[in-house]
Amino acid sequence: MNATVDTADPAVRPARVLGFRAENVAAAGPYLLLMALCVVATVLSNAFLTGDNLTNVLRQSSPLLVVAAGQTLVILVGGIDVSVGAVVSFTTVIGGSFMASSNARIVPTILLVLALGLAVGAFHAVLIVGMGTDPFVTTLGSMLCLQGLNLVYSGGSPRSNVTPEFRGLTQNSLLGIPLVIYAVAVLLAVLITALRVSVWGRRVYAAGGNAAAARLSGIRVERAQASAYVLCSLMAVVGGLILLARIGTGDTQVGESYALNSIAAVLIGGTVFGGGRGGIGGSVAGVLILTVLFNVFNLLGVSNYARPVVLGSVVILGIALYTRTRRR
Amino acid sequence: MTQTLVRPESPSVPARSPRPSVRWERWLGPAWLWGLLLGTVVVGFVASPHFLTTLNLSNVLQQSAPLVILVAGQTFALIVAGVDISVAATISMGTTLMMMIVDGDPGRIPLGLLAVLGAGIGVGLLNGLATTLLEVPAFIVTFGVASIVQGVVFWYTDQLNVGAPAPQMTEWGYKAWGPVPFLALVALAFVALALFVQNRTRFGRWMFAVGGSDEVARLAGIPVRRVRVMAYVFCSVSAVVASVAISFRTGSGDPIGGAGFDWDSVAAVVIGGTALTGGRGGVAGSVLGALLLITMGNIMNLVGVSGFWQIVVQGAVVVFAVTVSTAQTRRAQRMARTNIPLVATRRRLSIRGGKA
Repeated sequence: MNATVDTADPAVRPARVLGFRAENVAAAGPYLLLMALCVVATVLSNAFLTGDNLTNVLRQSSPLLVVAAGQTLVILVGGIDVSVGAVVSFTTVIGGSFMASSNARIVPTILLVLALGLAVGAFHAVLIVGMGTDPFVTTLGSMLCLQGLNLVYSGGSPRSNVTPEFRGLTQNSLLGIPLVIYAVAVLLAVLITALRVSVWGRRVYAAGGNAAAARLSGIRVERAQASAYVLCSLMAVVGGLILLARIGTGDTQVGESYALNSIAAVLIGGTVFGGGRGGIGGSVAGVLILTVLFNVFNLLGVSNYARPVVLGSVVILGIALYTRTRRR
Repeated sequence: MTQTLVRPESPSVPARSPRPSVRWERWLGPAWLWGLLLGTVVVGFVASPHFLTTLNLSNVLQQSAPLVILVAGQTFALIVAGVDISVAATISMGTTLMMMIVDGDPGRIPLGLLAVLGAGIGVGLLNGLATTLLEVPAFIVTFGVASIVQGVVFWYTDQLNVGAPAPQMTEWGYKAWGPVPFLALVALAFVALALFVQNRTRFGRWMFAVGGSDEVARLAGIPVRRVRVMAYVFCSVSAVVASVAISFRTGSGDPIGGAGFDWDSVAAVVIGGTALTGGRGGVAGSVLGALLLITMGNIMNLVGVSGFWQIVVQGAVVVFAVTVSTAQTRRAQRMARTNIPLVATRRRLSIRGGKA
């Protein structure tokens, strides 16, 4: 997704690499890395390129895909949200207990956790956008608050009063593909389209690219930024619900890795800190790169010690490869 | 800052800053944080009779030593517009290495210290070189390096507690003269060193310039990459020094002993007024931020607040402090528009290298 704001003079010709616009080449970077990774995985393990395994990869990646899409919006407007992990955990615990093993409570549960997500996002928007506090530390503070409240609420014990019908979202398939993957695909398609073609999307890019210039050209920068924070928390709630459906248990720790992983995926996908450049399409590739890596670790039985080493190296070197491309 | 830097010197600007308070804040930290810390101490005094006792205060100082040492380094990483989230893994590496090498033999303590210091410098170089040469964002680099370091620690510890402390280590870890523990003095010395580097050396001024604007710093002839790398090395060194303090105090080589120090240190630094965007802030504020977090935790322990609620309160404090900090910074920026701190900024950035 190279949806940068077209402010350039039409007479200025864009830089080209082998006849392609340079920014398109850079946007393809994460996908090239993903393809290379898949080729390596296929060579290393003949269990990788099977329908079952690929479906499994998609199912596993679905919560992070949604969370990372929200994270992308926040990073696009020049912020960051490290509270998404705590929101995911909170959603699974509240969902896992409030549903109380009753199908009649599925919809009220979903509405309740969405309302909580809305509250968290609005809180971030008021402080970060309204008062100008630092996004990293503000969301860090609310992460701690949510973690603590989660522990106070649950007493630290897992909750699993989830109905089989709710879990069907990830377990039932249509045409061999789990329902959740369709849902995530539709959600992401809507967001990607909105970012590319809607006025709101243009404002998000403008607000991140150059807030001062955007403000001077009459864009309500604050609204665009606030919408990003609210959407990010809501997406984290949706990710939490998907995770709850997949694992069937609400746990205070289960979302912990989502903060760092979502930020890493967004940056791997080519969205830059400071905002204005990148997009959700790249983040999708970022998430898939991470999930495929974890999948390959499992298939090959890579030792627990080597996993983080390989993960760290791939992330750093992978990003280094196409940040170089982009600079040229 | 960038704007003030490139603006030509205006002859109407008075030669001396009429706000000398700015200068002592560079050594002692923002006044409002002192106020907040003092307020916390008063609350502690009212809330618990055990708070203002020699034993408890000594305990607080001892507990805060590792975080105080760590935030000094983390501040440098933030000043050059970076961040180091690999410090948690680096601390785990430091404590486990120290414990494995010493393994109950006091004669091997110096060897352990040297090895840990070397490993810390290595991690810092990795962080610094990867951010500057590969031009990958600091967050990603340190995320990756954290992952790599943690994997290596898991490999050589087999994910188990390793080694054993020498008796002298635990003795010094708990030694105190009245309310002044040995570890607090170590932390104080380290902070003094960091403050000196920040305020009195060319490298210190260069850090602010690089954090304020890469481009302008480069044009001013500052070796931007070298400054960045040195800031990261200093940060990792502070992490291993903190890890040594932890190993003296706890006497255990826990392979995930550093967990949580990444978020805590960044929170303390930003509460202290250093911005993630770089070029502003300083070590003194970060130290106050760290002391504030630890003191709050101590008071809640004394009053008997459950561990779960403590996390909630800590989060609320972080949000509150960053809000106040923002209000303070905004006030300072409004004053900056009245042209006065232009002098202060220029003085801070003046490059002595040219004159010397």
